[in-house]
Amino acid sequence: MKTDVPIRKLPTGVPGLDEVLGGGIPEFSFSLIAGGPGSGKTTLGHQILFANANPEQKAIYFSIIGEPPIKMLRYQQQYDFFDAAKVGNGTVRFIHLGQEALDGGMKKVLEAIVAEVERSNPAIVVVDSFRAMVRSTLAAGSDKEIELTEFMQRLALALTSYQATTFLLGEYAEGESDNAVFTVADGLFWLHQAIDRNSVVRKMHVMKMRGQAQIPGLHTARITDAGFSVFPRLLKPAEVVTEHPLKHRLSTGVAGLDEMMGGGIPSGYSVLVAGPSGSGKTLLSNQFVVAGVERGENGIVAIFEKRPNDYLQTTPRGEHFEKLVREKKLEVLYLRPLDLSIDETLVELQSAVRRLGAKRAVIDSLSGLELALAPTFREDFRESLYRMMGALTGLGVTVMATVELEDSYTDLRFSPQGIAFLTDAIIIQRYVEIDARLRRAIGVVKIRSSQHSKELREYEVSEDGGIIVGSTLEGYDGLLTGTPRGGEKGNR
Amino acid sequence: MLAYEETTGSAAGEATTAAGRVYDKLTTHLTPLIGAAGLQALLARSIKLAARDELASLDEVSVLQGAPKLRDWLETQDPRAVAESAAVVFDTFFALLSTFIGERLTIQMLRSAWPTVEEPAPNESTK
Repeated sequence: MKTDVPIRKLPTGVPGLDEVLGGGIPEFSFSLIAGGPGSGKTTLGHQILFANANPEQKAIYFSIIGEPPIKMLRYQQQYDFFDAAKVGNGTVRFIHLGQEALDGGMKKVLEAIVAEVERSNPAIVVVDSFRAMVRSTLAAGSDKEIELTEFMQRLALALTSYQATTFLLGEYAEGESDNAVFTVADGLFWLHQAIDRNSVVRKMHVMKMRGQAQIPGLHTARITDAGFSVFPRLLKPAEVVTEHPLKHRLSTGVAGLDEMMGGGIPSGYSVLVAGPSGSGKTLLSNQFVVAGVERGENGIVAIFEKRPNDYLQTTPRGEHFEKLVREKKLEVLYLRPLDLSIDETLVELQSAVRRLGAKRAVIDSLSGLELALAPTFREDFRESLYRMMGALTGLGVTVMATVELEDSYTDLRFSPQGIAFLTDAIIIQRYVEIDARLRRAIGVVKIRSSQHSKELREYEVSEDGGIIVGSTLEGYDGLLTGTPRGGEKGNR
Repeated sequence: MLAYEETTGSAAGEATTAAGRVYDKLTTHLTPLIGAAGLQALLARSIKLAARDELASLDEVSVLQGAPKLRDWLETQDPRAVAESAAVVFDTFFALLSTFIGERLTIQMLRSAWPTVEEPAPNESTK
């Protein structure tokens, strides 16, 4: 017989947050939402409140000292989660206790809250903000800390006894703490705004949630018209049953390249296509994704440098792409909000994969992705990429990522910043000068656990924008130096 | 609201005039939402705006002590004499409230005090 008490988890109504919390907010818990000015405490409190309030589970929002309630109503109703009907029919009630705070301090506020909770029996209670009251109480003397502790104990006890799930909103600077409050609280959400050069990235840290295992660390967050969204650092891995990757290979859409790769890309692998500007990386990735659609494997293309319309108009197969997009076999994602995070990128990609049932994904390009990221995430680009590749291939998606690589004729590198080792396969595209002409060479550098061609073959771009791989550039030495010797004309 | 209070009479509350009863109900139903200070501030502003419409009778109501003086003034004056002024002040007040929190939310607040107030049609609501 299971003897531990079942704890119902309430949905937060915030995308991504339930996952971070380990399922939701424990019923009857008493949590603190802390953060500096503008960090989103009021918005988060409202969003959770409106997500849970219904005629059987009423909610009360107590405002004490801080933003005037009329201003709060004015701003919060701009969000999609704000349901005016719930306010009108009494499901959500707003009660201002500013006068009680001024007249009688914490004691009067506590009495008012308890009286109202007794009278109306709400299921959700938000108290915003008690911090100014706490500050003035503590400023009155060191002995007041006991009074504060007593206040918190009594408040938590009263609200829990009346089976209310409660959120206290408090303005705290980074590093500030309040033992009396932090100790009593079952949950502690800290909202940060990380400033790095000109960028500001919102992050949420669930420091504490009694009774369940939350995902640790700082999770990127964003506030839009829809309200708060959280992008968990660790996405829940999908259960994907795949056969051994080497048993099933995906065509790149380029016959010669498939041959070089021993039949194609092993299913579920990540492939890096590295080459200088204009070498045809995007063309190759286009052929890869179209080849997939032709075989019933839907695909997504994540772009960072051009807007979707520009991309579709300038890519050689643009019209065909547009047709596939209309048929919902292909989706072009343009991810360039300000101060992008890798977690947000992953959530968008994962959502698109699920939406389309995609089996192929193209990231064009990693160079563009790096530039789109907020500075704070660029510093951990390798770690971010590691997580991203792992998360996507974990969904059973075969990923092709392009990366700009300046031709270097003195050292052999396959990616900037040493990210090549993160992928399962690497294809390089290079320019070589032969007979005073720029010609293109393609090679397969590695495919994990698989044999592959070691040749450098010439390739061309056809009139319709397709890559055609030709024969091996035989008879030359030093192709990778940029100025090879040998060939039909003999030694130079 | 004035018409409603005129017809329902003084069954509840201390106010003896329709305008006084409107004032009291506003206080009861809106104070929990926007606080006593908030309500006083909005009423004071409403009086100021209404007085600009050349309602000379409102000149005597000081802005600084506007709201409590307003109630006294509504209660002590001849109801017929203040009807027009009271209507203007309350109209101004509701318009001001709508400016801040939108028409839909304003009407929902008012319906808690006066159930006969009509909800706006869906395409009239602001969001």
